[in-house]
Amino acid sequence: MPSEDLDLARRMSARDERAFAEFFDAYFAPTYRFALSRLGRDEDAAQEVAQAALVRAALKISSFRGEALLFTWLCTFCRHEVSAHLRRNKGLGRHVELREEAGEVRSALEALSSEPPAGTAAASRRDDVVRAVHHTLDALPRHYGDALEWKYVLGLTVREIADRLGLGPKAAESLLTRARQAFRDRFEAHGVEP
Amino acid sequence: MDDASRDDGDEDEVVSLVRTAGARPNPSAERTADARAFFDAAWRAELRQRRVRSVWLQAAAVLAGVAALAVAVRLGAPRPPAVARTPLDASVVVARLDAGLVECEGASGWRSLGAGEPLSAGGRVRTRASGAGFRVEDGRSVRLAARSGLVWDAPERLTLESGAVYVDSGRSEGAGSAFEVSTPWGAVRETGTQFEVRLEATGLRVRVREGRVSVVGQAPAIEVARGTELRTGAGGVTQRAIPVHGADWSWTLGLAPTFDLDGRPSHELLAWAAREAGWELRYADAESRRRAEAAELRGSIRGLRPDEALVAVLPSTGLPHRLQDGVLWIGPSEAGSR
Repeated sequence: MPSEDLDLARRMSARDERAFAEFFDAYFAPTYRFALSRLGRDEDAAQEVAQAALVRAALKISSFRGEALLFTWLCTFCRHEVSAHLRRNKGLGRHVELREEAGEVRSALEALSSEPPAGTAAASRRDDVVRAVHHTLDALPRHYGDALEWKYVLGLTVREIADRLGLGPKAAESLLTRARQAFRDRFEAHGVEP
Repeated sequence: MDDASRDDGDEDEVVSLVRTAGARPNPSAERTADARAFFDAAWRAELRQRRVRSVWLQAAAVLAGVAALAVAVRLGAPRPPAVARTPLDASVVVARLDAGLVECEGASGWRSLGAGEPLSAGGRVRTRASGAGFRVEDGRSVRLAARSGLVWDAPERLTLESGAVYVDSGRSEGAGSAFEVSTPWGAVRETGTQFEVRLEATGLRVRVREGRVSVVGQAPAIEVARGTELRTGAGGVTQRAIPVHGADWSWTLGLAPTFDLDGRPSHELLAWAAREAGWELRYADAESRRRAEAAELRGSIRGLRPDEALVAVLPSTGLPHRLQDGVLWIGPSEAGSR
């Protein structure tokens, strides 16, 4: 939630060490994935870029106004670091240009319904959709993406999700409903890019 | 609560999409731990140093010189016995961590070396995704690239075990003792210069940024000028011209020792940044040089790379600058260069 993001930003601005740890825990993996998909799956490069983006964002956290989600704001730093990395390494032909097509849930689902041979356009489209789904999960308000993944990929029960989030079962159910709607809205509006 | 019964209404397209796409890929625990260490060290260091970044002008005049340099490189057969080892004295501090992240080997395994923490003779260190910069007691800067390892045998000698190391002695030829980087493929000995030594799968690569290089080994001695790369190993010895600036050297910039600019003239900052980046510093006219020598700087550029420092500081001095073919021009463009 934006208020959560603002609260975290305020605590970091006040140099609360626990807030910096929370920031890293919440955003390293999503930022790493964001970088990984733009650096030709180079894991070392993605780590360097993600950690640099987190540091730069953390040091400018006082300029975060909560007008967008914190992760969306963080992605602007990550894009800059990706560009800088590619400039330093002369591109190396590994940069992945992500298409900014809006995702239509039904057609995306169709793209995932088959296992096309590697190297085909259909396989590329499938990869794009998987990446877009993962990015959409990362770009949702905190806990929404995790709750959806816990429930529908890892198979946790509502009660287990509730326990993880410190909520009651009803509240967890409600959160899942909101998360599904938020996922649909975001996926259809933004597709790959935040 | 019967959770399964609640899934009926959930089975919409979004659920199928999330389920079919599968779990998001996560970085490994080791990678996450590395990044966390980097993040923690970086934000703490930055916030400590943050109070300054403002730079302003005052009158003064000092001039700094940049040392003339030379290198003597001796390359021998694989694993040459000529790399003599003197007994290690673990009480001798050989260097201190100055920038980046590095692990050192101790009795109970590898541990992170803290900023400013001393490294004793015989110490083995390694880097992961980030490089590390060391300040030697005599002022030399030694920078270990990412995913590299070395044993620091003595204050003036180290053994490169993997990856690459960059040495900047910043002193004139013949001043002080020679620094030596030994490798399984030969020893690289310098008397004051900037150079990189990198272990490759089948040999050794040496790149010299300043000074001259003398290669002595199985082949006749070869004199090589600044801006040259040498390769030796299974394929024999080859050399080629290389630029002394640009992407090949960029990894060393982030590990450069901090330049303390407080109270020093702009000219010194320019000379430092140009040397670190491998640029030639030229003034477009006498007036620009006079202004750079007279302009005294205040503040700090800690945390900034030399090239970033220029961008941050020069606007406040009113000195225009531009880069052209490896030359850092200071002054109005119509006054000097081309």
